[in-house]
Amino acid sequence: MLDLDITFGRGSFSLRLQAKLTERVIGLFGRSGSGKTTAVHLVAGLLAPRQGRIALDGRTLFSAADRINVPAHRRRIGVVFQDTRLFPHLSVRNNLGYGQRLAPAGDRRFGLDQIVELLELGSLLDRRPQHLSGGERQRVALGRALLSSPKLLLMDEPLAALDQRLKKQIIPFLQRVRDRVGIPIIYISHEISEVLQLADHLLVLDEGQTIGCGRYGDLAQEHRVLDHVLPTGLMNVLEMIVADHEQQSGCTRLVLADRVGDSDAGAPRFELRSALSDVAVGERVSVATRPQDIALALAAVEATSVRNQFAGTIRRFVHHGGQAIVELDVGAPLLVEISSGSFSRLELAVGKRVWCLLKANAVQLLGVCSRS
Amino acid sequence: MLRSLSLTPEEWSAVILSVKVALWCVLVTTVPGVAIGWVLARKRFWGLIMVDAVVHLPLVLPPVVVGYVLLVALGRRGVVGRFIYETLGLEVAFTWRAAVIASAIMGFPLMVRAVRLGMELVDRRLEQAARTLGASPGRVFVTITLPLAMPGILTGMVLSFARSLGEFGATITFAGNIAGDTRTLPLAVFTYTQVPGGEGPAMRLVVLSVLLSLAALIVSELLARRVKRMVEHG
Amino acid sequence: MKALSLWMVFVLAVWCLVAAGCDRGDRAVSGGQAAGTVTVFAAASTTEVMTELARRYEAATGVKIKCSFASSSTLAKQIEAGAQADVYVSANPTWMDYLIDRHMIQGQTRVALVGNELVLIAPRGRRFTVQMKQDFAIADAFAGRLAVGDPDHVPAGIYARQALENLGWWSALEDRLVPAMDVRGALLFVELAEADAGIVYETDAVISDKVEVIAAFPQATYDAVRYPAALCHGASDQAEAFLEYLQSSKAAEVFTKAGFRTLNGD
Repeated sequence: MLDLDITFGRGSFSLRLQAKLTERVIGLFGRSGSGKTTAVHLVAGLLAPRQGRIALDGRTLFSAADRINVPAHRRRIGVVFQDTRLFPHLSVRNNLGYGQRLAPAGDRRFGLDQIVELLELGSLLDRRPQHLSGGERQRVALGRALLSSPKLLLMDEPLAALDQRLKKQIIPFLQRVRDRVGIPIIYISHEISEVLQLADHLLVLDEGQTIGCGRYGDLAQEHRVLDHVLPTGLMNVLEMIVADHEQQSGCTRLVLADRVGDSDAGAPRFELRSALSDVAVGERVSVATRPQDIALALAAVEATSVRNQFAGTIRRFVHHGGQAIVELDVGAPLLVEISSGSFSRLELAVGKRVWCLLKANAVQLLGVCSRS
Repeated sequence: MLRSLSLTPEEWSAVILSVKVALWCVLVTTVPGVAIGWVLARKRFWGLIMVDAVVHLPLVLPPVVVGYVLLVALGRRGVVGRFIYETLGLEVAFTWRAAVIASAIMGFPLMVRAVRLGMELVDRRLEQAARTLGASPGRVFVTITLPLAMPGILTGMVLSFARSLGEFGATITFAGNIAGDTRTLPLAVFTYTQVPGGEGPAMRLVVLSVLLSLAALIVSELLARRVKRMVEHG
Repeated sequence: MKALSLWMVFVLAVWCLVAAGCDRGDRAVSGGQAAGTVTVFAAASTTEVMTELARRYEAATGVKIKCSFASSSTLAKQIEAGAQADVYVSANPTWMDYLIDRHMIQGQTRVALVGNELVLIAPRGRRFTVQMKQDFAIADAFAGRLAVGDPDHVPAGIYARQALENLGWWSALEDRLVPAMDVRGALLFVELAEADAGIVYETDAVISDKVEVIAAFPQATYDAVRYPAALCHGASDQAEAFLEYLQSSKAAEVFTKAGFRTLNGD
């Protein structure tokens, strides 16, 4: 879908991007300053690479060798910016319609009503951007980009400027777009838990270099990726459903939403308990746990304060910098991080069945999610 | 007393001529002013500093010098004026057209400065966003840059108008002081102060100049506020 | 910071003293009083001849002559408003009378200096045929505009209007006039070919090589051009001597050479 092989330099910063992206949703992940925003500008045509080639669905957008540089307004690549960039002199309706008018007549995929319904913008249509909240503005920006019927949608850290509450509000809309709209999306962020709520395939950048590209689980086993990601921490993000709230024990019970992979269809679904939350029963939520918060044992532990005990099979592992990153199958892939010493002491190996211990407090409900 | 306040036909013709010249001046300078203001605000190239300097020259030169240069260039025997007269039969110097040209040149730097400022205040990131939505550079300019720079453009137009009302040195040198044709308000006041018995008309025209300039400034302020409100709040 | 502002005040004070001192110094050198200078306000048409006379007088006597040239009407206005002139030379009696009526002139010092003639000029190489008589179709004789001194107040313009009216040409040409602030302004218009014809004094036409004289207006069509000269009130002693000089035979030579008509016993 998107072929990238470009270099770019400005001052002391240089960027080297090499990837063939075919998934429908890709997360572009990296720390601040790693070149993510520059990458967005290069792909969108707002900046020109020094060397290389960019092609989208077979159409060459940039080629240094052939001296091709399709200008931004002809690339049909939509961008949702971190600072929304809504036009202050136009109403929400006219902001939304701005790109729609410019799309070639045969290519227009969406009607205004469709997008307004999808992103719940009905009550905002006649207002000016200055009178919207941060979350409302971001939804309008998303709607505006969609209405231009792009062939590819780039979302450049759209949630970075929002607080936690607003992020929780907006992510379901992003998921809705991902599921219903059918346009390839590249989602850029420096927050791993945010990216993982939207994409399973990642392109990892650090200091302008491509560190890794592929499925998250695979990347977590790569040393180069671990070199850069480990300091900020790996994360497990799972989609689960709120089963019930256990008032006496002060916990909320969550059940895995979809089975993944080749796990046993008959076995009971994977469960976790988190601290009591106010999310309604039956809601689908994103749940996050840090691999380093999970302890391993060779057998179940009786009489323990830990509220979460579950078994899993070791699928693969890698040793990195004195830590062992282990991928378990608990009905879904789960990453666990323990010291290499402990790993050897317990004589762990691929295929071994182990028990995991996880405190309820270490189970974080990221927010309600949308899945159709 | 009232009779001394009413204007003679010659005085009226000076007022009407001044307004006519000022309006034409705005008409003539707006489009080039916006174009050059945009270039200076957005572009980077080597000759830019020269363009900037030349545009601002009339601001710094004595108006009479500017008028004389115009006369040498566009007078009937002038470098360019000769061709204009011979091919088009058009007289430029010492006609109301010359008054417009003199005002336009003297007011152009003011127009360009105001436009440039207005353009620089337009967030370029908005222009980038418009491009990603499919707008060509021309469309971006018309739908995004121009509307958002409008307060600056309007300011430039008002400054140009006001400068024209007060233009003297270049006008009297290039357009002359011909009653009815090129004797604008400032020139009329000057003439009346030079001539025995001209005190009455001079004073009337002075009062009128002040009123006219005040009116122009008030209108411009109201307009600027209106536009600002439209851009920010709808 | 305090030292800097103290320093600036000091510099400013020194500069003021120096500036004031320079001014005083000038006066000291020139003899301590304005009486060492004679200020002459003279009609624009006398620019070259007056400058030459002033130069000769200065060389002979050492008395400095300062000249200011403009339309006689403008000069009269300036004197009336308090300009410190010693000698006033007008191109017609009207403005002299004007100042005498307002007690700005020592009436008894008034003399008639010289005379002049009115001519019709055109830009060099663009002459046209004209006959100075009533039924001549002047409007068809040339295409463009006619430059004159402003007929409302400039003497050359007033004379020009008289001549045109008496020839019956005024109504035909009234809309084609380019009125100038003084007679030299009218001359300039014709030099630049912005006007296709002009009416100036004979002495003006002679000075410029960019115009040519087409014809002289018949003396009968306009009042005789007379240049009265007089002393203003409060004029210095040297001024009287200069006025005497202007009436001398030596001065007469210079006037005649420039084309002015000398008057015999007026």
